Amino acid sequence: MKKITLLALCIGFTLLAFAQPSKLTNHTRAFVDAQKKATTAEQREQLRKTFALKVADNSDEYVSAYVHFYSADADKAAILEAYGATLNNDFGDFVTSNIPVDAIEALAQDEQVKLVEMGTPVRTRMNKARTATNVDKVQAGTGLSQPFLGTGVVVGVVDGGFQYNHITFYDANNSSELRVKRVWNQSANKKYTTQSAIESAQYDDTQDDSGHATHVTGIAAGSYAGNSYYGVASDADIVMVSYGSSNTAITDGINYIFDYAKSVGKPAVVNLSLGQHMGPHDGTSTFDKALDGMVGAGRIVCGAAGNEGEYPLYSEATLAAGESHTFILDPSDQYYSGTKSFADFWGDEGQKYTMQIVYLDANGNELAAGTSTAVATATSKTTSWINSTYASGSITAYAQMSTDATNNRGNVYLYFKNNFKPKNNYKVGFKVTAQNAGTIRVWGDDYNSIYWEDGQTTHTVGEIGGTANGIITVGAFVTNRRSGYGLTSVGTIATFSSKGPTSDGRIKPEITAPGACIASAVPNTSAITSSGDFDEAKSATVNGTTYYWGYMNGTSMATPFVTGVVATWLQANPNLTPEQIKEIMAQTAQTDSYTGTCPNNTWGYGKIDAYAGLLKVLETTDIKHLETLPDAIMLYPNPSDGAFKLFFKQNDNNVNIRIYAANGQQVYAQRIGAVDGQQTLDIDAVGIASGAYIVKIAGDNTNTTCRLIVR
Amino acid sequence: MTHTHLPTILAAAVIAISLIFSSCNCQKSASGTANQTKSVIGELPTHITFSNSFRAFWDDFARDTRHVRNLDKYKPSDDFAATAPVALLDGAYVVSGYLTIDDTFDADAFTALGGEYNRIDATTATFKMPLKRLPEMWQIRGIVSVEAATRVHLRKR
Repeated sequence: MKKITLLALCIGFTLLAFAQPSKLTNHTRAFVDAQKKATTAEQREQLRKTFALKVADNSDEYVSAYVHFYSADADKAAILEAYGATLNNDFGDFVTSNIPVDAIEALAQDEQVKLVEMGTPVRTRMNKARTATNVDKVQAGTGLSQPFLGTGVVVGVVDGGFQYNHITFYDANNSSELRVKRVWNQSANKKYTTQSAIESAQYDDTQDDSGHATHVTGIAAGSYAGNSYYGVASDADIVMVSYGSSNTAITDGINYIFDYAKSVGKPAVVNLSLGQHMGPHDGTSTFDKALDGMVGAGRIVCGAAGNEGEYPLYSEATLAAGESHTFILDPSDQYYSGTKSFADFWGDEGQKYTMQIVYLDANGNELAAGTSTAVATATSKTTSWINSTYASGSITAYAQMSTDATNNRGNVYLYFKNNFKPKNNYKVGFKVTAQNAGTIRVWGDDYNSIYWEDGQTTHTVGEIGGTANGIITVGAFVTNRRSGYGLTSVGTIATFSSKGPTSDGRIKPEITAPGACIASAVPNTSAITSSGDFDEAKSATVNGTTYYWGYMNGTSMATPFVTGVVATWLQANPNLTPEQIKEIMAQTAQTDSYTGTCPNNTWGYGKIDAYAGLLKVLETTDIKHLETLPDAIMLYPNPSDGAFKLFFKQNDNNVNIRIYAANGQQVYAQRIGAVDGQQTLDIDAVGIASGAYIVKIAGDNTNTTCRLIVR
Repeated sequence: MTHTHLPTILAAAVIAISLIFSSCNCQKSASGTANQTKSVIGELPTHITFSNSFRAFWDDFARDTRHVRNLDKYKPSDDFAATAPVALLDGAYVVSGYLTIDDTFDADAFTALGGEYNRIDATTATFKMPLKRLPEMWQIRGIVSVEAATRVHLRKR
């Protein structure tokens, strides 16, 4: 009988043991089992890569873990000390602790310990572009009260080649919510305002073989975290305008995006990875003046500088009255003309000049000349400027002084048609004679390679993205290289990045960002995936649909990077103006041996620093003036010198504040009591040492913690 | 009427008929001449300022319509449409650009032609106008200047 009883008790206790819930999480149990088996140095090294296993200065191995207690009133420090573990930070019924590897199981068996949860390693899955520009810190909220992902901001993209419902445009936390809120397909004359309509439309052009717009939007605001190719403002709302290929369509597209943002009470930043070179390049074109009128507080536009930084498409001559200069077409590039192309000449304000076509031999000796065209108050036009002995095709010159009082520049527009081309080794030039002193400037058609024998690579920032006073113009630098792209070293300016200044002398671009071999989302149409230009980075199949990411190059890729960064800054201060953003860039951009002294006409203010810029925004934000109120409690400025403000959005009672150092020591405490909604309190903890702290704010309606950096 | 008047009547009828036919011939000749020397779209008016790019577009438009007698039946050539500020929207070819207008601008007349415009500020607007109605646009009050839209390219290297 006794034997039967004893056996029953053993079975019972055994069953009871099996029935006890484990006080180690699965991950911790896996580590404990693995570390018992890892006996060689290589095996221990592999453990450190797989688990959050660390080595102390005395070579003892330990893990960082959350230790949960049954009661918040337990003498936690003493309990942990008994197992050789530390108490780093106390959060009530759980703490953070460093635990010797050999003490994990014993600690878990302590009757007052509820659970030991080993920390999981967080690996940086960000690509090089984000780390080079400190976007990763912005997204992680390093030292900040929260991560900044463009929440509450509209990112607008005017472009072509959209897949509206690429997986990266969905909410990262709710995969069924599409962040694309509006789509305007200008070419199809269709507007989509609901998620179902946008998803149903899917693409703006299934025959588009570049997917440019999808790639650009993915850089600015992509969210898919299944690979490292997500974007900067991954929680921003998105508005897509599939542009109708012209500058007026872009103007309408910007207006559409800003109108939507206004309707939902949000700030907006628009991306223009677009450009061309017809116009005075001085901010006085109709497009530029329209853009300047549309931007303002919470209304920002970022534009691409252009990809002509290597090409001599600009030339100029400063002439005294009566002096002449011949602008000679670059004969070395025989691609020019296509069927139709142009060269656009602009004089100084009020300057008058004449122009005639001239033909030269290979040595530059003038052989023949056409009639002169006077550029004065009257409009004039000269045709038949081609002498068929020397060239084929046709050139028509349209000349006039602009009627715009703010421009008043003499303009000669040369229209090349019918495959215009010099014959044999002859050269074609345009002789300009100044009637009064000034500088004549000319831009060739970059799309058809119209360049100049004495051309320069300066002044190559283009119209649309590069010349308005109110636009933020972006150049590109190299953070990644792949074979076949012909790029220079990492850290250098991309050789294709167009340079300033504008023709009225303003430094451009304002800033540079990664624009070489950037991987981002592309449409999953067969036009893309079977295109010879498609350089695949990744694919992923989700719920039966395959999505793609690919590499692209250009200031097109650099611009949405800055667009996304600006969106994170607008999250912190929705009322930032273009001037304020430029000033923040001026104060916080990174400079190095590659940029040289900034600002300059290659790098602008330097390389974008998203984190330093955000800190500057937070430093200077006056909460009371924000039109859009922040979260329930906001701590600012952060970093601070120990004196900071707490903004309470709602009423609360019995509020108290405690500040803890990283080792868990309380360094500051203040009982506040009752607070009113929208009240700002000044907290003066000046005198505590520099470092990182946890601020814990507790009240009847509040129990929140945030990080504070004290400098 | 007696048989004695019949020859007179017949002669008068012949003369009248001859006059009618000759008049038609003259008109045909005149219109034929007009077709040979004058585009159906006409010249640009002098009371409106046109950008150089618009003037270039207008010359191409005139060339493309040189054999056209009725714009309602006109379809742009591929060569012209490829580089002109023209797009096919909802089955109709539409030209776009910027307008400078003054406070006498007749918006109703503009939209009655089938045009659309979006004001950017007090004096500037983007516009779209059906290509076949474009010559009629110059009759609308309050248009100060017209600038053709220019093509813009993606900045992918």
